[in-house]
Amino acid sequence: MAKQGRRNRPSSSSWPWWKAATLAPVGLGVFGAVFAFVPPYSSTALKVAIGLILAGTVAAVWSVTRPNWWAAIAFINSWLFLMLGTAMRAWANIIPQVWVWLVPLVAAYVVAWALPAISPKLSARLLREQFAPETRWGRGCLTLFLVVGPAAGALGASVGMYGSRFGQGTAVIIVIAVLFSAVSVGFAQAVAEQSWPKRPWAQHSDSGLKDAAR
Amino acid sequence: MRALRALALAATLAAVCVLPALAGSEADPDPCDPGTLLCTLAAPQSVQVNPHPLNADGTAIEVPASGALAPVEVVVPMPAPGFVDPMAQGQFGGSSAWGSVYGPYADGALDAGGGSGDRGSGGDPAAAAGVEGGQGGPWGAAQALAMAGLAVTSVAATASQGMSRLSSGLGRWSSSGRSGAGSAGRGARLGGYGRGGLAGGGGSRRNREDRLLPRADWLPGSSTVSSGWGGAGKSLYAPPPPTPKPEPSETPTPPGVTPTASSTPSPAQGTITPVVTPTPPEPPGYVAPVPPEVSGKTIGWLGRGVKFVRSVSNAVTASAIQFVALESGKVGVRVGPAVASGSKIAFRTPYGFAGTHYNPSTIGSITGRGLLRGALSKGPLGISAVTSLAANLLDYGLGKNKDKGILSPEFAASTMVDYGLAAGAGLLAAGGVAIVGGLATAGLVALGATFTAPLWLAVGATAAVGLVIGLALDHFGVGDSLKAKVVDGFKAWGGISNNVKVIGGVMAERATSALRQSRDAIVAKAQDAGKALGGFVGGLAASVTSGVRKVASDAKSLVRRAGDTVVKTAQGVGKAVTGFVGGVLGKAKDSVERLKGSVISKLPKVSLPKVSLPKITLPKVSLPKVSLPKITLPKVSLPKISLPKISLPKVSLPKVSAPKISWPKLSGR
Repeated sequence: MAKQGRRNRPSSSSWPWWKAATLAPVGLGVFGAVFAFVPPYSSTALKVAIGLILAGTVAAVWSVTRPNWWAAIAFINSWLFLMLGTAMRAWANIIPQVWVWLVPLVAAYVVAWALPAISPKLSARLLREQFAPETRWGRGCLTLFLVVGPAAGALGASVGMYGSRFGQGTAVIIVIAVLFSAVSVGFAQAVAEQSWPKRPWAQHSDSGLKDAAR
Repeated sequence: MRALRALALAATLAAVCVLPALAGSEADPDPCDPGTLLCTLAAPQSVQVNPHPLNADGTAIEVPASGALAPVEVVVPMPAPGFVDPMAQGQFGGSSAWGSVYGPYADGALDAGGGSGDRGSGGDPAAAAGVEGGQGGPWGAAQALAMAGLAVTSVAATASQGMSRLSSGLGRWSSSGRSGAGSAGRGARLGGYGRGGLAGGGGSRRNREDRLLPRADWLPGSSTVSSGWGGAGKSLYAPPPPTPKPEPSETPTPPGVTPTASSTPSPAQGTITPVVTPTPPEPPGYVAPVPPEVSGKTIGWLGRGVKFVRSVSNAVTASAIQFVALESGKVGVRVGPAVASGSKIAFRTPYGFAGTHYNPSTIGSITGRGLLRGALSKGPLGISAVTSLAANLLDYGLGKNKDKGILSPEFAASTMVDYGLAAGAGLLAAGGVAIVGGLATAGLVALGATFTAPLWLAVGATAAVGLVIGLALDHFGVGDSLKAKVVDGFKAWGGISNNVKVIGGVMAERATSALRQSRDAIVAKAQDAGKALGGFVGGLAASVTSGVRKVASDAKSLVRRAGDTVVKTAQGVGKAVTGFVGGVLGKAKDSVERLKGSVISKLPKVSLPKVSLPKITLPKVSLPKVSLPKITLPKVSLPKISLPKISLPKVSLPKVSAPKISWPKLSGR
């Protein structure tokens, strides 16, 4: 039993707390800056970003040092909230009617997190399609992403710079809104599907079933 | 006679020009029969004499077809490993999306197995559900493309390294045989590992792990393809039919083409196995392999002419590095059997995997570094350069800055700044995604679950962050301010060079004057020293001379007084005594002169040191030409002032006629 417990306790978390505490603000800071400085600059967004960065840093240190499902989920959510907020700010620039885009976006995010509980098969199928698309278009998209993968940042920066310079700022904002919405919802679904089996209450129920079987 | 000449000339011309044409094949209505002596072959033709040769015993001889070049087998070292999770975990048929042995159902499987570690024997839900065959299934493909299914960073790193290799040499990717093999192997590896539920048993962990290693089933024809997810899932790319493969013993491997470990591996790394053999006979029912689906068809909208897309996809799918979740909780890094046995370590070392067992977080950090390196590889830098150049050419050639032109310093500054900003933004975006992805991986690994991001999410997040950074840079005028400073710097170069010249001239002048002063000081000191020595010697000589003269004068006066006395006393002896005294004085004078000479000769010779002054070449101070601006005074056209003509009124003075006065004539009488 002790051996099994040692086996169950992973040894792969090799990040010390100070490393997580150092890198988490940097990584989240990039997304926080993106969130705050999506034109136009918003001081309120900056405050929210700072709060999310701090919360995410604490959650990262917590999840790395003491494995905790909630801490890991909190860290990932702080990251996804930054991306979701960026998408919201971009949508707000384009469509002044807030409810037009806010309701679908938030609903999609919530459904993405809840999909493993609502429809496990659909959730698994969605994730599988993201990994290994079976359709022709999916494979094409995968190939395209493989090609542009390493240059994605530089390509995005170029589009952002020159798009606004040549008077296509609205189009750039639309691309930002769509891209951040898709990425945040997609990440939420992927993380939810992969972390769902490790939820604490499921482990408790499994242990209860084991005790009952004995 | 003339008629004969004309006739001879006409006959000659006919013989030269007409008769050969008539003697051609068209002129001959009967073609020659092959084999006859009268019908000779033209030079470049040949005739197969006996298409069906026989042996002496009458058996037929199969004449092999002419040799053809078999496809060159090239294994491209792409770090797009397939994460082959041998343990059938969960409802996905052992999907390694859960990343490791600590997958969602691993614990259950272990517990159900009574702690024996026999994963396949009992509680594995996948095995119980009868979906054991699909170990990798579609997951394997995704994880292969997503770089080990461990971290968000890995997927982008995969693409990055692929892209970097693409930029290094596209031609090397286009190996027809390998591309098909790579695709097929991917598909085979995806679904073909169907022993997850059966691998348990009483073996040791090491043996079980060895059994769990990926097999060579991704090579064409070496394995059957079974699909995961209960057989419903398909592999990423359709596997081609088995291709006859020559025996390894018949495949010479040229030396020197095995990869070497280096930080930046070249695309040519791998085992290149040229096979030049006659085409083997096709087995009955053999269907020629068709090219894999990963081709321009899947991205037709990008254009079939974009060959590098296909090349990159082939390169990525042709990867041979595989990650295997081990029972110990670590991840094994394996190299597929397509790589020669002696080259596997050198094959995986350039990707940062020198060892064979890693913690998942370590692999995540390794691939995260790969992502950052990918942002600085040739591909992104080239894209940044091309986009910045194109945008500025458009702007300064046709756009709003057309008046400045593409030869202006503003164009150069704008291109430079845009290039740097784009590359920096790309690096920043990749770094942010890599760090956050690594943290997410570490956090979930601590829980026992490995987070794997799909490829499009990692790439999309990086692109989105880069997009916002670029937009913000342009919106907040960072680029414009930098460009203005750079342009000022360009313009300041002329002034800077002039200032450098002036400063150099002043410094040279100062140095020259200082040297002159020092030289004069040295010379003055030397002269003073010489004067001092000369004065000492002269004084010494003068004192000696004056002393001798005084002695002589004293003696002379004494003699005079004695002479006077002698004269007074004996005037007759006076002249003789006087002569005697004169002789004595002469000798005394000679002795004094000799003494003086000896004293002077005994004085040390003072030789003044030669002062060799350095030659000072004054730099040519070329003062900047001050070209005074030509001041062209504006032409001031004064208004013509036409003075009004003033016509004075004619004043007609009244004629004053004096009255004639007639004086009375007076007579003098």
